[in-house]
Parts: sequence; structure tokens; C-alpha cells
Amino acid sequence: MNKIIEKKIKNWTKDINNNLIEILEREAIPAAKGIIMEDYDFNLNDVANPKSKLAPERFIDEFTRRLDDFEYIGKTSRGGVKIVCPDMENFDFRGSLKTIENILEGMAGNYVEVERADYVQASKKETYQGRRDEVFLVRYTAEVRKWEKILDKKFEPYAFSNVAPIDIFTRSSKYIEDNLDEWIDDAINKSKRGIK
Amino acid sequence: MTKLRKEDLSLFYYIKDAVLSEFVEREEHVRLRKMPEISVETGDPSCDSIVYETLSSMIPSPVERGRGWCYFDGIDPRDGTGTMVFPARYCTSCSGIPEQSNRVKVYQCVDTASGTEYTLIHNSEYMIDYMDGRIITSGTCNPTHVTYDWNYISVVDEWAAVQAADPPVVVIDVSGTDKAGYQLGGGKKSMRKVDLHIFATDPAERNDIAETLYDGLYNRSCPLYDFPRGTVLDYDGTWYDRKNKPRSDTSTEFPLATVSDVIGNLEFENVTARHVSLPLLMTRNRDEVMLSDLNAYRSKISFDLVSYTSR
Repeated sequence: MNKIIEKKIKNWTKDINNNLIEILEREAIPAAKGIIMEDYDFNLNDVANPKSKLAPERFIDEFTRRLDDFEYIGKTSRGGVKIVCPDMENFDFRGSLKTIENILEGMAGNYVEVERADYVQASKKETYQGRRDEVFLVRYTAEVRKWEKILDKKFEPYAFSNVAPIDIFTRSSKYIEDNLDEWIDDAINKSKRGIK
Repeated sequence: MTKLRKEDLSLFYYIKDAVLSEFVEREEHVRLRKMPEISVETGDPSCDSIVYETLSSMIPSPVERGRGWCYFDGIDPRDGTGTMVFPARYCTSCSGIPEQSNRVKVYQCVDTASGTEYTLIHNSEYMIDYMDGRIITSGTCNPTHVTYDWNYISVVDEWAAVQAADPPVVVIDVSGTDKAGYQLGGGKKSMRKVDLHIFATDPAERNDIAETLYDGLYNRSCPLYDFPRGTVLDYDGTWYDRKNKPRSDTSTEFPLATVSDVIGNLEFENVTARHVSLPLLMTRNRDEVMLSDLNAYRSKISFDLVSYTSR
């Protein structure tokens, strides 16, 4: 192939990729994040027990930060642009977001929230020095009912006990999938303007 | 019955009675106990109903939700003999699938000078409640022991039922539906999102079940049955219409008719599997975990259930 044509095609492809990245960053990613947060609000915040110390509302800032840090745009092995949507396998749930991961994966069984002080007093087993405000999520067994009698208090039931997995990522992936062709067309059209 | 319900049921039978058919256990010569509180005993066999329950100490319990005794004939779990009659492709000569004849055997035990003798009672003498593991007679025989095959894996169709049984449990969750045209003129393609959630007792068992289910779905399909006379078991766990018709009546066979306006089988597409490792929130140290056993060894298989209708 003529080297000049080859160079032109290369530049044009690069231009399309850059335009696509710009469109994705400006339009697609903020919209996808918005959809995820909408689903977070609707499926988690609105369902949770407001008294709960493990209510998803308490983790919303951290979740938003991780969503912002997520790498949506990558490169394919041939140098093309790749858009990656967050899902249960690639999203960073480490640290405090493990609580959210638990909810999204679904939890079988009934659980109650037990504060650290109560847990230590009732179980008489604690040996390590944890944080004072630590809360344990404990399966509501006969043993735990005994703890309630010992402490003369009712533990707070966990709102997401025995709740099936909740999907807050699929709708945003579908939004990207449905609109990707349009964004690619826009990127190509914008590049065409520069061709002489 | 809507097509969705038929798809759900066909998938349920395919998973439980075909794919997981290897996970069957046999319990032999289990003692039976008469249940006077629910029996009707007048001395007239035409209106008597004497119920016997099994005194099994097996864990997990064979009659927990989603388990139950096997109602289709199949392969002997001890020596591998016998033939699978379900799903339909294995049945070459019958129009429907009859109630099992080699899975449950009821005996009358007699103590003799040479030891205990188990006399087999003919299966026309009793009915079987496959869900609760009970034998129902009309008073013409006196059953004392039973040998039966039971499903080791509990298969349920709702998440809330998971904790009703000890693991292993498989939950079938049919969620989203998408429909689209697939040809010029009439007809459509239906796609359902399905997740199978596996709850096992240890990693080895989880891997076994996940691999078996994956292989049973990948590149495969299952018949979409029409269920013109309802499901295989009646509401009370007995074989369809067995209360009114004897075993010799072929009209009580489970019909193999498939839905007429559906083209081909129910296809499984985009099958994926992954283990679910829930973060252990409640660990006090590495050895002690307070998460329930149910959540400790989980896996999830996701796939699309695809069918084509001509109208």
C-alpha cells in the first residue's frame, strides 16, 4: 500500500478513536454512572432499615468514589478502543464495600446486627481488639436468641436477610450496548470533517 | 398455563430429573410408622386411607423442600444398572412416562426362626407421597419397611426457600425476558435470563455440582413440555391422578407432548459459571466464621433460555 495512504488511514483511525473516547467520557460514562446510582438508590437505599448501621446509604460516598475511579476505557490488543462496564466481577468491592457486595450477591438466611460490645458480652469469646463501633452480622440462630435474653434486648434484623441477588449493573451495560453504534457513527462523522 | 410457566417447569424437570440425576442416594429398609392422626380407618378398603411415614435419620433429610423421592425410573445409584426414562429422548417406546417401578420398594417384615424376612408388597397395593416420603394404603396390606431412592440435591425455584433445606441446594431463578422477531412474517424469539444459584457444603461438592450443571447446559437444549394435565406430582405429592386411577391405567403417564407452536427445543445460550465468595464479615479469626454454612460455598451459573415460536 502507498505509504502516504497508509499513514492517512492510520491517522484517521487514531482520530476516530480519540473522538470516540471524547464522546464516551462526555456522554456515555456519566450517563452509565447515573443509571448505576439510580439503581443503587432504588434497590438498596429505599429498602434498607434506616436504623441499620450497615445501611447502604452509609456507603454511598465510597461507592461513588469507586465508580469514579473505575477504568471504563481500555485498549484492545490491536490498538482499538474498548469500553468496560462495571459488574460483579470487575468492580472493586474491597474494604468497606464488602457489605454492598454481600447484598448484591444475595444472602441466604436471616441475620441480625450485633454491636461489638454486645457480641463480646454475650458470646464471651472475643479476644482481639477491634474497633469500638464495629457491627457484626450474625445469623439469627437459637444461640443468638439466647444472647438476646442475656442482654435483655432485641437485635436489629438485617433488612437484606434472605434477599435474592440484586442487579444494579446490567441496566447501565445495556444502555452502553444500545447506544454504542450511535457514538461510533458520531466519532466517524466528526473525523470525516477533517479529511480532504 | 402461560408459556413462561411451561418453560420454568420444563427447565425445573430437566435440571432436577435429567442433569442432576447422578446425585441420587438410596436408603434401604427404613422403618415405617403408622400416622393415626391423619389416617382414616373404618375397615372398609374402599374408603380407608392409612398413612405411614418413614423414620429416617438421614442428613440432609430426604423429604426436605426441593428433595423428595425419585418418581421416574432411572439408574440404580449402587451398581449403575437401569435406564433413564427422562428426558423424553431416552424413551423410545412409550407415549408418556409411567410412574417409577424400580425406585421405591415397600416391604412387610416378618421375623422367622432363620432371621428377618422382607416380603415385597406389590406396588398396586399402595400410593406414594413422593414429597413427604409417605406410603398410603387402603388397609389391604401392612407395610413395615421401605427402600427408596431420593434426590440428594434440593432444587427449589425461589430464593426464600433456600434456608428451608440443608445444603446442597440449587435455586432456579428465571428473571428478565426479552422478545424479538426472528423471521419475515409471524413468529418471535423469546430470551429469558436464568441464574442457577448453588449452595454446597464444601468446595469439592460445589465444584462437582457446578461442573455437572454447566455440562448439562452448555451446547444443549431441553424439550418444552406442554403439561396438558398439570405437573408430574399432584399437590399432595402423589403421582398425577393416582388417587383415582390404578397403576395399570396408562392415562396417568406423564405426557411427553411438547408445546405445539414452539419450534425446536428450549436452547441454553451464553452459559457462564463463577464461584461466589462472599466476604466473611463476621470472622473473629481465620478459623472461626460466623456466616451461615449456606453462604460459605456458593456458585452461580447464568445463561439465556431461548425459544422460538411460530406465531
